[in-house]
This record gives sequence, structure tokens and C-alpha cells, in this order.
Amino acid sequence: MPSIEEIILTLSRNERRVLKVISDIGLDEFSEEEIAKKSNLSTAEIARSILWLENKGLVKKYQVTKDMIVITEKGRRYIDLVLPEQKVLNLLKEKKQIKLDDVLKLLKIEPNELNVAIGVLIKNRLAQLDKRSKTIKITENGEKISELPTQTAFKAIIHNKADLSAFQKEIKELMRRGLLRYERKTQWKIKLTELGKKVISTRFEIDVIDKLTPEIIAEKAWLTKRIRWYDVESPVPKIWGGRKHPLRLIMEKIRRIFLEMGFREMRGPWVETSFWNMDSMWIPQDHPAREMQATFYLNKPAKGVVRDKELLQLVKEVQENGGDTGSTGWQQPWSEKEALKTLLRTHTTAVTFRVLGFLIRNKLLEPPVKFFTIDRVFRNETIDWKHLAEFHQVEGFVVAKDLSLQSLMGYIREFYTKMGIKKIRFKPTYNPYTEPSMEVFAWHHDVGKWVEVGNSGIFRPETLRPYGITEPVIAWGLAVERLAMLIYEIEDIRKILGPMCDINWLRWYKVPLRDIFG
Amino acid sequence: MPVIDVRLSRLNKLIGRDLSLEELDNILFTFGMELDSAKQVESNDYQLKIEITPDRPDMLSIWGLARALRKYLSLELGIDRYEIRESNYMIFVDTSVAKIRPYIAATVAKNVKLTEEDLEDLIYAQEKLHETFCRGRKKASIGFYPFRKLDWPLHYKADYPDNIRFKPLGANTVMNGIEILREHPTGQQYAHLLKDAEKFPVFVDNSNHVLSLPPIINSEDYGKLTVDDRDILLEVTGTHKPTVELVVNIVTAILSDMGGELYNVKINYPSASEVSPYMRPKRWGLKTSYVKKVLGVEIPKEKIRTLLNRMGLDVISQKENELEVIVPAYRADIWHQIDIVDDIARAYGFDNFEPELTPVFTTGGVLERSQIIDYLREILIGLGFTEVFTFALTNKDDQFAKMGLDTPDSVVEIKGAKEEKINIVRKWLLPELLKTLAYNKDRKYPIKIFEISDVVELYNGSDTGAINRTKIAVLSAHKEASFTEIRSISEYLLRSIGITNFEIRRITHGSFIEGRVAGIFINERNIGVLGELHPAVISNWGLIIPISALELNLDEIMKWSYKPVEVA
Repeated sequence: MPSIEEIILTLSRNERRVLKVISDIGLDEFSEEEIAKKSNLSTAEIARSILWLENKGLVKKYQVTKDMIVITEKGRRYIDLVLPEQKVLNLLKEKKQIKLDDVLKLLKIEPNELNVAIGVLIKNRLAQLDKRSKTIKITENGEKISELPTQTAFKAIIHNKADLSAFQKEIKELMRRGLLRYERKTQWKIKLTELGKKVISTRFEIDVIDKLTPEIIAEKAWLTKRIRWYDVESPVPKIWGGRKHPLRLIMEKIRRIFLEMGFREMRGPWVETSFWNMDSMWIPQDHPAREMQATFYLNKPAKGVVRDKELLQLVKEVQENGGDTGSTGWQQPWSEKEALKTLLRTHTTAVTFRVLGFLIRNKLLEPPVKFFTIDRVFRNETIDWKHLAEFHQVEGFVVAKDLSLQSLMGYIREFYTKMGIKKIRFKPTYNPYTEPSMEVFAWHHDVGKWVEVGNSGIFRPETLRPYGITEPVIAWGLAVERLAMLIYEIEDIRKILGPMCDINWLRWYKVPLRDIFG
Repeated sequence: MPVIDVRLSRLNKLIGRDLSLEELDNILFTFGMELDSAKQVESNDYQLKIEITPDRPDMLSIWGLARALRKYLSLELGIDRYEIRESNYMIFVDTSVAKIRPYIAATVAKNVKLTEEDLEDLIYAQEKLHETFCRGRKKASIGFYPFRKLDWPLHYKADYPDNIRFKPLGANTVMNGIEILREHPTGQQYAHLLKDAEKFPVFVDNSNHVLSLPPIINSEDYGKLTVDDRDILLEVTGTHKPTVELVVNIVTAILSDMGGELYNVKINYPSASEVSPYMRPKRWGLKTSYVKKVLGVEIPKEKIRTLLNRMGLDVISQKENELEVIVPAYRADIWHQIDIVDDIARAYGFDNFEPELTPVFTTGGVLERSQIIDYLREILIGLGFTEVFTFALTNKDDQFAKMGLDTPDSVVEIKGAKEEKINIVRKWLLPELLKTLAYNKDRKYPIKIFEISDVVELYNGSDTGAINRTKIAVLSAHKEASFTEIRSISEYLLRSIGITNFEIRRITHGSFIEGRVAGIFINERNIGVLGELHPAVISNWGLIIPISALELNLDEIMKWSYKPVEVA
């Protein structure tokens, strides 16, 4: 609980001015309009000050419901004028007596208004009516009175006078005539709290420095005046700045890990020939993954080229009969035409085989080498919460002597440990271009089960023969978006990649600090 | 991955051990398969969906799966010896099938005890094989026939479809070949396999009864098994001889597991004859040093034999460092010795290997491209822009029509996408950023986003006919979005990577307001465009906020030339 002095120090210039007005008004209950009338602050400034004063516990703002007297549509005709009875009286004071027809002409009022006016004047004995000559005449009482009670009451209401107790009769009368009515109104009212009263009774109008300016600093005004305190505990606006996409954080982490492990980055094209996407790695030409159901083929460009004719021949041999690898091959004719069809690459292994085919085969690179890529791949899928037609794949491979299945496990374990995924398990699997092949499973302690986080293997002899590679090649890969779904706990994959990604998530996502993997 | 449905109790009965769900789950995992789901059907029984490893079509039947697991669990070891009795059963193959479906193979199995359940499982296995290994019946297809109805020898030939007349399975009238393809549901489903064929394959007996129209359908009268059948003819036809042989072997092994006595069938091709099935195991030499090289662990010869036995293989002889391994004739996944090593690894258990980080000295490195992209990203984030990842797959309407442009010729066009809104690969990024904005229109402005990523376009100089280009797109959407703002950003970005010799010139561009759009040029090369987006374009995306935007071509800025593969 801050002391009265602390509270006073936190008051801004406007809050102080509002408090001064409140203290001057001296009422128990008041409204912002009343403060506005007595100060030169804008209504917005008052409202903000009241809000701050309320936050500081000095005032309380609350709603009251009251039946208020309001002027009706009919009554509004007289707001800037006077009531007809007053008009007629004023005219009589001048003319003493006048024909009704002349009243209508001179005052430009409606006959029914005149009837009401005459009724009021006669009832109050302020005028007399001669029915035969249709003439009205002022009485002695009429000469004495200057303003009619109904007129006084009406003015009091127009001017929003607080105390209307003197006009009960007249208000009733005006209501009967349909010029006034009651309306239930909700109003914001303000009152001082006990704390507010204490502050007001203390010397709160001290002169403080509200805003530090270069002049104040230079002229050392702060030596003599105190600097206003802030309410440091009150809420502040929620902001955002520019940020990396959450996927980027994962990709950067993966890239960093590969670099730490001595891998070099590689990059290959999105548009591929079937050759580099499939044939080059001994995927048979009738493999289900090559169907249009699974892969995006292209109308434009419809066909690519493989300029290395010797490579085409070598691939043809291992495909058809295993060549000199000791393999049976697929024992079916291999079509070059099929291999030259273009498509959107379905995996980043296409990039790996470009490195094997363009660089290692041509002796532009010599093993040992380690490479990685993190880039986009495409699958012909219908997009829904579980599937995308494109996503990011990571691929890393090592070409070196003496690599074995145990080395592959070692590299993968190192990689995932660096990712923060410590408890992993390997499951044998089948890939057309690696043998043995392993899926990598990680223990997800929130879900309480093993989840697949990668795929891997040792390239088959048939896949390497065309590139003249005799060293073992180990490789592994994973899908970034799947991992991101686990890390950021997002169920709908479309919220991660593509236009449905929520900009508010990008503004305010939490960086992945917590280990979800055991 | 192919999935098969089996009942746990029935699988256990065939395995010969009472495996719990957990035990089975774990065995499948170490073997390399997955228990997809288990639905409790009785207090102690489950209906299972098991993912079978796709290179093992021999496990697509409950018998084949049980056989493999029996051995894996050491309940029985090694290779099964299949006794194939000699017979006089013969099939004559006519030259006319050579063009359409040249190969046939067959086995006769007698004294098979068929229950309703067996019959169902057999047909189920047939269909699973058709779907996967037989490539939708194209490479091979399987037929079963009641032996008692056949008049031997049988004939496999091709005939004009309107000459082929029989009652197909499930029909109650005789139909000809054309009618079957047009009207019978199975005929309609597989009609594409006989598209453009002048003659259809037909399998008949010696009395010229039609037994089947391969690969479409069997005869209701001569090609339908019932539980009363004890003796069965298995027939496989196809277009790929190795597949036909493997399939007849796989199903022959099933019939043997069902207790059938097996008889061979002589296939008389026009120029040669042979005997099917082909159950003789295949021999492979295997050096122990090769096993060690691949797996990284020394496994003694005796242990290797035991491990191979658990995979249903056997070692018939061993020299100093070499084993002679025999592989059952139903295994479709042994192309090379490496596949035998894989079997050893599966039996050894992947959990039992010792991961080792074999030292390989290399230095790491990032692409120049990645380094520059990182710098640019950091600068844009510093300016308060948030990174987005948009789709590369899009359509002409979004990329061009909505942007007030005509579709250029250099666009990469996709064939047959399942997703209807996909027909091209993006050529520029801005429309995709606008799409992101359109999905986020109720979010608080200012919205400032950017993307640095690739687009593709046609390119004659590459082996694929296309090229990736890295683009930088920046978009600022708020009430005060202006030309000045985006031009300042453009210049700041370019200067930050040392580009100072650029010129800003007035151009016209359909996506931007006339008079508020500029091109950026370096030595007369256009490297980008910037300006205030045209209100028509903004409206096309359902937006009502002023937007200033920029798109730069990083490849053009850096003058990077095409490489078939980029390496650091």
C-alpha cells in the first residue's frame, strides 16, 4: 500500500488539475461533465485522468440509474424560444388588449398553441377573455408578473438545473401538455474514495517535473523540484516487432548443428527431371510414388535433358539388371523418355544425387564429404489440417570410408541430441534407395509415446555405382513442419506454412525453450 | 505402406503363441512394421491394422505374416522345404497372348481344408497383392479355380472380346468380353488394363469352358471357390515374368501353410516349356567381412546363421570367410547381398547396435546465397517486418489476374493437381504475401511482413528447363503506407549489401498505382519494382487498407549464374 506522499508523487499534471476541480466542486457525487464545465481540460483528458485516478484508488466511477426529466420532440420547439403563454403575456403587456386573430398573426403561433396559452393565462388570472369580441385583455396580476412559473420551470430544465423541487407543479403541467417526459437514464458518476479524500485534504498541489526535457536536464531544475513518479505497476499496451518465422528458428538450429558437425550446404532446383528425383537413385520406373496421384508432373517445362550420356547408360544398366554391382536390378526395361519427364521434386535426396552426379562423378569433389540442405519439396496432396502439398525437408549425407550402420546411428544420435531430442530409437524400414534403412523415433513425454522424427539409411550399391563411389554413403532426413507442430504444439499444419498462418502467432509466439522430448 | 486387417486371436493361433497386444506391438516395431490400430472386439481379442513393410509382399497374408513372425520368435527356424509333387497337369500358351499378357504360372494344391474364414482371408490376400506388388493387376494377377470342374489340359490364349462369352463372377447371365468391361463393376474397374487391346487374354479348359478373363475376372461356373473345395488350381498371369514367378510362389507358400499338397503344372510356351511354381530357394554368397563392413559390428558366423534362420533364411555351407545363404523363393526383396545383411540387422535388433560417431574430418560451410539472405532478413526484422512463409504452389488467377497482370509465358505449369487451387508454381512473392494478408484482415494494423524465398520460371539454360530465383518481397499495410516509406526501405536494403549503383526510374506496372511505381535498375538490368499497390488490386484481395510493397530479384542483384547444383 503506497503512502499518501507516494500517491501524490505519481499524480500527473492533469490528474492534479482534475483533483483540484473535484475539491473545488465540493460535492460527494459528480460527473465528468461537471468537471469539464469547471476546467479547461478536454473531455478526453478528463476521462483519462479519471481512469488513472481510479487505478490509483483515489476515485470511484460507477453507474447510477435515474428517471430524468427530458424535453420531448414537441417541447424541443421551444428550447431557444419561450413558451406560447409567455409570448402572449409579453404581447399583452405591450398592447393591453388585442383580438385573438391579431395574436395569431403577430406571434405566428398555431391556434392550438394559442388556446393553451390563453387557458394558462386565464387560469392564473393574468388575463381575461371577451368571448363575443374574441378579444383578450391583461389583468392587474398580469401587469405585475414578468415571467410565468411554467416558463421559469422550462428554462430550469433546459439549463440542466440540478434542483427542480420548486417546480413540481409546473413540471407536471408541462408533462401533461407533452412538452416534457421522464426517461430512465444511466449515468456515470464519480466520487472520492476515503483515500481520495485524504489526498485532497493533504497538500497535493505540489509543483513536480512531469516530463524530463533537455532543458530541465541542462538547467538542473531537477535539483529543486521532484520528478513525478509513475505508477509502474499499471498495465502497458501490448506491442510487437519484426520477428523470424517460428519455422526459421528450427531451420536455423538445424543448419547450425550441421555446420557444427562439419557439413557444407547444398542447393538444388525445385523443378526436377524424374531422373534426378528417382531414376538416379534406383527407384524403379513403376514405383507407386512415381504416379501422378503422388507427384506433381509438369505441363511446362514438359521435358528435361541429361547431358551425361555415359551416366544415362550406367543408370539404365543398374536399373535393368544391376550392372556389375551383383544386383539383380529391376529386371524390366528402363525408359530414358520416362526419366526425362519433369516434375516438382518430391524429396531433397534429389539434391544429394545432383552432388553425386555433377560433382563427385566428375571428380570436382573427392570424398570424404558431408553435405546438407534444408529446402522445399512437393507432393500431390489435397490440403487439409494434416496434409500440405509442399513442406520443408532436411537432408544430410556423408561419403567416407568405414561408415557403417552403427556410424549412421552415431551421426543421427549426435544430430538429435543437439536438437534437444535425447531419447531416440531406431526402427528398420524400407526405402527403395537405402539398405539398411531406419526410421528415427523420439520419445515425446507430453504425448507419452514414440513419434517418428526422421528417416535414414545407407545408400544401396546400385544407387552409387553410376557415380563411381565405392565409399559408403549414409544419409538422413526429416520434415521441418512435422517437427514444428510438435515443438509449437500446433494441430493444424496449415497454421505453420502458407497463408492461413495467423499473424498474431507470428507476433507473439513463444520461442521453443522447453524440451518436449525426453 | 500397405496395411492389412487381422484378428489378434487368429494371428496368435497361426503363430502358435499367445502374444499380448504390447508384445506384438514391440515385435512388429523391431521387425520394421507398425501396429497402426487395435480395436477391442471381445474381452480378450482385438481387430488389428498392421502396416506391412512394402518390400515384403509375402507378408500381405495372415499366413505369410504368421510364418515370418513364427521364425522371428524362434518358434520355428530357417527355410521351409516345399515338396512339389510331379504331375501331368499342363497349360498350353498360345502365341496370341505374347502382345497382351505373355506369362502364366500355376500350382495345384490338393486336400486344402477351407473354412469360411480361410476363404475370406485368401481372397483378402489376393486383393492386397493385386493392389500393391501386382501394381493394380498390371504386372500380375491371381486366380483360383475348383480343381474338380477342370478338364485338363488348360489353354491360355487371346481372342476377340466378342468371342469370349461366359458368366463372370457375381453375374447371372453370360456376357462377352466387351460387355464385361462395360457393365460388370470389376470389368469397369480394370478396363484400362485392356484398353486398345484387339484381343483379350482368356483362360479355358480342354472342353473350351472359359475359366477366366485375366486380369479382369473369373467365371462364376468354373472359377469360383467354395468351402466344399478341397483341391484348388492357382493361376497367375502377367506382363512381367519375375513378378509372375514371385506371386505364384508367394501364394503357393500360403496354400502349403493351409495344409495343401502341392503339385506342379507344366507351362508349354510356344517355343519352350517350363514347370511352375518356382519354389527352389535362391543361393547367395555372403562374405562375413561384408556384414561387418555394413553393420559396423563383428558377428560370429554361427550367430549370423541363427539370425538368418530367424528371418526364414538358411546357411547351407560356409568357408573361411564366406557363407552360402539360401533364400526362400517367395522373398521379393533380395536384389543384392546388402538385402541379406539387412535381414541380419533386423534379426540382430536395431536396439542392440552401438551407435558410434565415426570421425570424418570435413569443414562446414554455408552458401553465399544463404549468408546474404540472413543479412537481409536481419535488416528487415530490424525495420519491424515479420517473416512469413507462403506457398510456392499457387494459381494463375492469384499470381496475375488479381494483380492486374496478364499471365506471362515463362510460368511453370503443373499437371493434374489434386488441390483445385494449384496450377502453377509462383513466379513472384507479392501475391502470396497479399494472400496471407487476406487471411489476416481482422488483425491489427500496421501489418508489415516480408519473405525471402524462391520462385521458379522457365529457363532454357538448365537441364530441367526451369530455374529457381531468390526473391525478396516486402509489404507494408497501414493507413499511412506510402511510396516514400517503401522506397526508403528498398534503398536501405540495397545499400546494406553494398549496392549503391542502382537507379530508381518511373515505370508502369499493372499491380501499382500509375505515377506511384518505380523500377530499380543496375546497369540497365531491372532488379525489382516498388510502389503503392493499386486500389483495384487491394480490393481484389478483399482488403481496404493502403499497401506499399517491394519485390527484388536477388539473383539479378548478385548476378549469380545458373549451376545444376550449388554447394558451399
